[in-house]
Amino acid sequence: MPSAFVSLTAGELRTANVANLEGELSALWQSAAEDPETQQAVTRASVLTLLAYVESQEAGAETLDLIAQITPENPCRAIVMIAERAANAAALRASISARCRTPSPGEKQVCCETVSIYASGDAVEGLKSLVVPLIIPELPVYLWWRTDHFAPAEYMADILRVADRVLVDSAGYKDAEKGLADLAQQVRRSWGARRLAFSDLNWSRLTPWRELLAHCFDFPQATDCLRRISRVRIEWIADGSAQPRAGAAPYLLAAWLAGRLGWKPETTVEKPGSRVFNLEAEGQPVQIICGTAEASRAGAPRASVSVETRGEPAAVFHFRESAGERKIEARCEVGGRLPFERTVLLQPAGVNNLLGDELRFPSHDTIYEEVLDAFASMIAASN
Amino acid sequence: MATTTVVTNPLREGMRLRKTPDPCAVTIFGASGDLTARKLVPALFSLDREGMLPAAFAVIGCAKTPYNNEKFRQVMAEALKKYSDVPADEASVADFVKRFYYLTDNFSDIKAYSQLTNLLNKLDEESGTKGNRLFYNATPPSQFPVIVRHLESAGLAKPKRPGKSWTRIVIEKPFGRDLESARQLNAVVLSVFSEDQVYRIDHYLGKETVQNLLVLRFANGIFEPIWNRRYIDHVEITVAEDIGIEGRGGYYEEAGLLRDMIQNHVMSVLSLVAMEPPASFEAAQVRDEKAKVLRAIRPFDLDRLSEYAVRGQYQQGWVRGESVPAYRSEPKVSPASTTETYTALKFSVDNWRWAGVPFYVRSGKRLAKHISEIVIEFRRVPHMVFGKTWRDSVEPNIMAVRIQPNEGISVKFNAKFPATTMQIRPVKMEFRYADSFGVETPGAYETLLLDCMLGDQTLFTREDAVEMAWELLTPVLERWQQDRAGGLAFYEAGSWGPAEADALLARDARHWHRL
Repeated sequence: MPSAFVSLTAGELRTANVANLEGELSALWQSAAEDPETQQAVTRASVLTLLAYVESQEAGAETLDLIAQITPENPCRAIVMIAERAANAAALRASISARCRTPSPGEKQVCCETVSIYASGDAVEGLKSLVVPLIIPELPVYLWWRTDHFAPAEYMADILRVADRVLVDSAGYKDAEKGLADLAQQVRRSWGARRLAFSDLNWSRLTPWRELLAHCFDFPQATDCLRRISRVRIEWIADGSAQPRAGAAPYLLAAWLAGRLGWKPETTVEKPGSRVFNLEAEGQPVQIICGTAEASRAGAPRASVSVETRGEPAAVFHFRESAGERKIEARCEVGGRLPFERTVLLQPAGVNNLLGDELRFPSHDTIYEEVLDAFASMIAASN
Repeated sequence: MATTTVVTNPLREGMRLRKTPDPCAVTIFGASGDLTARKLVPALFSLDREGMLPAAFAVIGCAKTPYNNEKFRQVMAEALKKYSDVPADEASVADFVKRFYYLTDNFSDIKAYSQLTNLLNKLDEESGTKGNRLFYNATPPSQFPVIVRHLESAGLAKPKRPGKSWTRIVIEKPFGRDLESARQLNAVVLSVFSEDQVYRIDHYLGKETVQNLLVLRFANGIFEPIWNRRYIDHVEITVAEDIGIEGRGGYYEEAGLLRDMIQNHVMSVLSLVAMEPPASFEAAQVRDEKAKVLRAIRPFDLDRLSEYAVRGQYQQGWVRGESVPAYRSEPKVSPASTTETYTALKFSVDNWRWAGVPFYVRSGKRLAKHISEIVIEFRRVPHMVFGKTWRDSVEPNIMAVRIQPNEGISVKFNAKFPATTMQIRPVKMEFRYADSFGVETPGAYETLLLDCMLGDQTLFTREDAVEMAWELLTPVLERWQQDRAGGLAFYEAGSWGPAEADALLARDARHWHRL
């Protein structure tokens, strides 16, 4: 029969005394040291504290599973908060588990610990009293916010106060425009004495796009085209009926271009299946159209960006990600010169990969914060 | 109206993605050899699996061995299954080697280069490699100059489209066998290529911990203030191998340990430990600072060489429970060989930071274990407040940077043993990559090949560094050559080297750290 520690390392959650979680964790490692089945020395490793916030038990289970996938490369103390405020009964309960990497012969077994805290009804107010004391001193604290928009309730204020970085995923926002605008507001609010950093897994998904777009404008003739851009069309296939305009990705790219190139928002118009942003660049109009591609159209790309310029020499920049192919292709032509063509292969962008990547960057992503700010101004231009 | 030109690309700012190289073709001379199968191709495969290779990419193998494209692909696929560190499933391997081509010819003959030129041009057209070319010399050193000259004659040394494409050449060690030959090799290479096209590869510098040494020193505020003669007593660098010469008797008889390990690996590590902080982590700045260290190393006093240098050769002994033969009994080794398989040296770095701090280095074959480590021993406390009992028994602080295996950093300091009386015990605080990051550290060739394709020369050895290292070590080699067997110390295989190496430190009232 497997011993206590070994079953915990297999991912089994054990009910813990909420009043003494730190003690429970110490007991867990004590049992590891004494367990006859843990044949190698056990090392408790942590390079950060990862907090996760979800609002359903189903999301909680999924989050625990994703965390298990990233801990081998990002040893941490993970604390998953499952808050069901709407539930009638007030309850607060916790469980703990350990996750260990299979060691090579003669090596130490490296383990991380996971604490799962379930809070319902008014007991959600007690979450902070359990979470804050469990944070590992002097190591970075990441708060992974897994709801359909980032709008923390008052009871999360103390937890936000100890966090260094908030991770969201705007791909899942039901209302991408409102979600991004609210997020921008939260980022502005955090610009106090102690600035909280923000990351968006959806922004990370766009990194190969940004890299390729930037690369095409690296050449001197192409760089000069940046000030002559007249229209940008960004199209994404909707990832399901819940996201009528393909989530936030086209908006993030649009705001990135506008923010980086210093375009000033003037008006914005919502049209069936698209949103048009009218901006101004050094006295010249620039239009960005964010729309939805028709998924059913044969040969339609999964996503595409085309950039048009005014004046001479004529230039065309076109980028597309074909449906079913993990690559983005770029074709750029300036003044009839031989076209520049480049293909970038896309790496798997599962949530676990993206999260793992984000945990390696402790500092502010100032460009992302600039993007949110630019988007907030662009969407506010409609009023 | 005057128009202004945007000179910088604002879209570039804040990119976190690791840059992928430009489309390119990698030509490997000596492609049927061991290095290609064991190191180069597995490293390229690993980069491919990580998405770090460009979509338009090709490998051209060049050698006399009569393969064709199919055979080369088959041999490399088998090598990947055997040597790859990342999972090499059938489909990924087949997909990867599709981009491999092979030319059978004698590349010491200029005639062979026309078919290479044709193939490169064809790949530019058909595979989109855009005229970017990386030539990798994995041939015996004697062929380097010939290949370099033929590349020039074939018009392959200069970028195909100046300003729009690049041409680079990678040269494997040894970079010469003494100062004179190193100068000759550099002269040949630099008469054809410019220094910024030349990548002299020392795989040791691609190791993660070697690079981490720079991060440790220059990204932490607590170490640099004490990284000097005021706080450091001495530095030890050990590069120990438990293996022998692995059937390379012919090569080793010509080379010896000092040429094989000290001139390149150990001198590079020493310069990273001792260098001043560069203004930035850019190739030119890092290489400038490394060169300054080599320039500051005091030349050996040849009349008192035995006080600074020890050479040894292993005799029969036991390694990992197996009886192993003496060096002189190895195949292709002379029974009267005086080639050194062990070297220990004491260096002095004559500058303000290191005056009076000896750098002891040692390296050898058939030593007690396989380990590479840098040990920084700090000075003892100036006054022991805990009384005479502890004055001599409290150990100095040690920082150890483990390069391989189990890469990591440890710090030894003293702590009070829990007791009612004062008892002081040394304790060790340890950081291990595997524990904290849980990721496989990229292989050295992986890092370095990627850097070559990206055009980053930071981890490659510059012409002046090669020559300065030879300038210091060639007189030692010459003196040993004159002395023949005189002064050659013997050690038992499986030991930590000859007693003379212990005496080298004992003269300074020090001892090698136990590893």
